Amino acid sequence: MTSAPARYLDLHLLHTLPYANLNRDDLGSPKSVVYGGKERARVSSQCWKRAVRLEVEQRLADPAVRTRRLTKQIAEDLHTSHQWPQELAGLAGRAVAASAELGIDKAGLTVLVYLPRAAIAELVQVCLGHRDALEQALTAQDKTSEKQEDGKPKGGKGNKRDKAVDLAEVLPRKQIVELITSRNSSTALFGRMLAEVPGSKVDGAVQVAHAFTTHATEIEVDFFTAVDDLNPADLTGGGHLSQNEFTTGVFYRYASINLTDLTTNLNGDAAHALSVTEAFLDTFCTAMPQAKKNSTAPFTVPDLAYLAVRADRPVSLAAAFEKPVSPASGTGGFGAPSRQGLATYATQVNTLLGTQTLPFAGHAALQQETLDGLGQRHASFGELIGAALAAAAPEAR
Amino acid sequence: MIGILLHLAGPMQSWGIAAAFNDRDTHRYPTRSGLLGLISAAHGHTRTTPLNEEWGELVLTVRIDRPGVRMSDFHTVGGGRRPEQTVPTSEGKRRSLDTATITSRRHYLADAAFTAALEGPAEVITGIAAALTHPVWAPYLGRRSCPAEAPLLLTPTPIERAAAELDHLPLARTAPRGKDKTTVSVEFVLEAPPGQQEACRSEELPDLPSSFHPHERAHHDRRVYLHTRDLPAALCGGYGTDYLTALHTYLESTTS
Repeated sequence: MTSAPARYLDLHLLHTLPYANLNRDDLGSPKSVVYGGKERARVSSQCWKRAVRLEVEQRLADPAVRTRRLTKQIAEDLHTSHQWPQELAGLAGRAVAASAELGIDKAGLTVLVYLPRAAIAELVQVCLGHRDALEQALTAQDKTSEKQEDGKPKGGKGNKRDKAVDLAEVLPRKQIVELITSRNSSTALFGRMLAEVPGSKVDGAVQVAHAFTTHATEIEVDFFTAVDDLNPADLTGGGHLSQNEFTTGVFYRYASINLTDLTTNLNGDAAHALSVTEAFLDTFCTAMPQAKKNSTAPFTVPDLAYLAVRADRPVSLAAAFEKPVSPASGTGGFGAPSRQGLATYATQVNTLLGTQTLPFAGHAALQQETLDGLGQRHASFGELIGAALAAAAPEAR
Repeated sequence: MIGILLHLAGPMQSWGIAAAFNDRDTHRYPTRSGLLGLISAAHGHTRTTPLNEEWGELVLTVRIDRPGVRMSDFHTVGGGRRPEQTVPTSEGKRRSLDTATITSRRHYLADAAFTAALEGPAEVITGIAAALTHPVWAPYLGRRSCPAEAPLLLTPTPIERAAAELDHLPLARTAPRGKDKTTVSVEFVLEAPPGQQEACRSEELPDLPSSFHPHERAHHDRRVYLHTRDLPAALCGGYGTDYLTALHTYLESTTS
């Protein structure tokens, strides 16, 4: 163990999944990948990452929203919670979008923005503080539109009239842009790409690999019929027949957090970065994609978690399963040989790369076997994560 | 001229050439732009950092240990939304409900493994080796969801004649079956034609980057020469732990 600074935190999981189809392709089959010459079941990184993101946001009570309805939400809040007249509230919503140069389409929607939910409330507060300016803008608009559309009934759409007054100048533009591009734990972890608002881009600090089985798999086709309950007794046969596809296996799952990047994304707040890291690691162990959950209930927990804090670079151990695992002799099953395979491979990687840049390595597992090469054993996932974080940032905890 | 050796392998990798919109392709071996992107990220360069001019002098040789198989990953965006919430078409109209979901295909090379030699001026190569040893951003094989197998950098200390080592370094593949099979055919991708006696074919790729800037991204064409050589079957190091052991034995013997 050395005092090299922690930069990357690698989490490796072995996770046994029963008969399930967590992630489908366009034909409804479980996704797959060929590795080491054999077909394996796969769950895409995007799929599992979404499940993790939703749970992380819930845990940290710091949710982020992806929405095209930002202007409408602001208008609605102003109208319902603060009794603003509908027209003024609508103008305020459009003024927010104009400040950030977010175009509004005919349906009143912007491009998809991604921001902390708390930022919407703050945007509403900014509007409340600038009610006078917004009212003046509304009056100015009404005058221009009366002149332009003399005698014609006023149109419901605001777009034409908005051009008469420069809506982008009504609200404090800098503050609005800051709020719309503001970050929270979720954007700091997973990143954000928004081409329309310069400066909003956040490179995510988390990398997640596609999960795949440690062994060769085959897709199981489940033929099923649905009974027609109201068929007369003499009429036999199903009301519907079709087939679904499922697969089972021991999955290798890998994610890596760049601690330096995460701290930077959170404006240098090391303690916040640690708590976000803890939430991510914990959630990565437990969150599950929800596809076909009602017909398969595949809610298992990982068999093994191996955590490594690294000072040099992240290291994936996927190649431990490049040679597909064979069932354990005598007892069968892929779990035990997968765990041993990971331990043997990690030992070999450590021999090759050295351990000077490995300030912490440890594991927690459901089974009692000894796993040399995966560091010290910890009683629970929580304890393992706690020990890793204490090693990663001793001063911050 | 000194050089480094890189092991580019993982369950999935993707080296885009003409990727556009909803169909993100991959070439069948690593591109120069992809590899320089990986190295830039390791240095901590952003997309707007001007490309290091000295990198133009680097010579890249790729050995195809295992060509892998092509696969495509199917993605959906925006399914299950009301028409007015879907992505607009170019005429400003909305797609009908049953065509509202945007789908995309991302292509990957599954099960592929490459060994690359990168040669160039001593100070440039030393800088790249240092960056890859302690990368600012984690190296990945074309896409962030495709982490590279360890070790990525086989030579933390650069060596002389790195490309020549490709004839001796263990191959990331299993040995051919049958006792009489004493050699394996291995394809190489070179940036200069091989010796006169050797048959080769060439192809042109638009993968010579001049800028990674999002608004000024540009690539020039690069000509590569492909040829196949027979290497001893004994070089086959196998998969996973077997390969690492073979690699370890080889590196120990050459560095000591």
